[in-house]
Amino acid sequence: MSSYYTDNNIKDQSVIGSSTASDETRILFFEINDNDSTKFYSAYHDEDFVYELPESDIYQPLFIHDNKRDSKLEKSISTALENLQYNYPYNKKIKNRLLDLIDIDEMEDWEAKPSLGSIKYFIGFINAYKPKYPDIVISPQGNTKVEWYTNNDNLFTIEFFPNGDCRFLCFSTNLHNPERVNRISGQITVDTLDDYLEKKQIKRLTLI
Amino acid sequence: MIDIPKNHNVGRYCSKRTITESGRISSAAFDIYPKDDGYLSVNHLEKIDLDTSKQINYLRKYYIQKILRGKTPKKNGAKIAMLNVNNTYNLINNNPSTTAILKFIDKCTKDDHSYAGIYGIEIDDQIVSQLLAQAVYESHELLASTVINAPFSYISPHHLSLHENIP
Repeated sequence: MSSYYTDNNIKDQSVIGSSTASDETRILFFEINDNDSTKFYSAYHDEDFVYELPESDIYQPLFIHDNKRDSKLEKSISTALENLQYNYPYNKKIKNRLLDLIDIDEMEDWEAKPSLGSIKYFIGFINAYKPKYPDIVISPQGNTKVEWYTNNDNLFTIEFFPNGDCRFLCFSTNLHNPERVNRISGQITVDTLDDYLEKKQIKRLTLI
Repeated sequence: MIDIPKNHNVGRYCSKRTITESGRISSAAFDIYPKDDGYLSVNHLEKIDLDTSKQINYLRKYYIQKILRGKTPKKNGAKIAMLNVNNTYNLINNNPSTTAILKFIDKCTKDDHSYAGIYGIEIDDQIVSQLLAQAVYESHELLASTVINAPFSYISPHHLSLHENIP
């Protein structure tokens, strides 16, 4: 859509609905093409802002929103989380955090669904090492990524892949030259993380 | 391809899934994948407006429309990360921990005059992703007006004149 529109001037399209939030109005309109296909658009405007949609963007009608909820995946992930050991002090906190992150309803179109395999390897890691509570995020690829962050110069990150590989990243102050920062990264299998976790500085960051 | 001036700034959309519980933008927000065509998408703030509040207002609406497809979620948690070009260059391009040489390139289109890209990031270069997260000087909630100042020790770009002609 290349036409500019204002409150009372919409060229080439027809308004089929609008809704008003606190400070802006959302307009839904459509365009019927020569081949009888219909393109839907939505747009915002308020007093000092007129939004012009890119021509390449074709919006699905808001009222026929594609339901992406995958209850089977959510159930599988919930079941996998039951395998977290009861005596781990952050058991409940990790469950709640992951369940919040895997809310498919809030997932964005371009993001991959959370990977069940990645979560399983993460749980296996937690059960084996019982580390300090990490920051948990999901990568755009859907992998579970955890981070123990003290400051910009002292952190340890692991991204769990569904095939048992993981990527790690470690920033730590150089003990011999405290003004320098050691930065190490790599990709290994989860079962060889041992070699790295035993290192003094990583142990200090991650383990209880 | 036009380089964005060093004293200018860019904004990047960071999804809820890449934000930690404490509100910190994690390196996952700056991970690059093959589908990204070799660059991270950002918006050139000075092309939107010279006024920061107008920049944020524009990006909020733009990202809700472009990325959230017009859905205005009741709660979202996504953020807009702000990076200064010169500070990011200083943090990464001269860093012995990585061989990456970043470039902020203007990629404006007729549909999005502020569209830009960060080039020079290798896939799997976690160090650069982490350093980019650390280069964020300010972040804004997508759905609220909260401004969170990151623990960033570099000179805030607000101390630089937007009109200063730094090559």
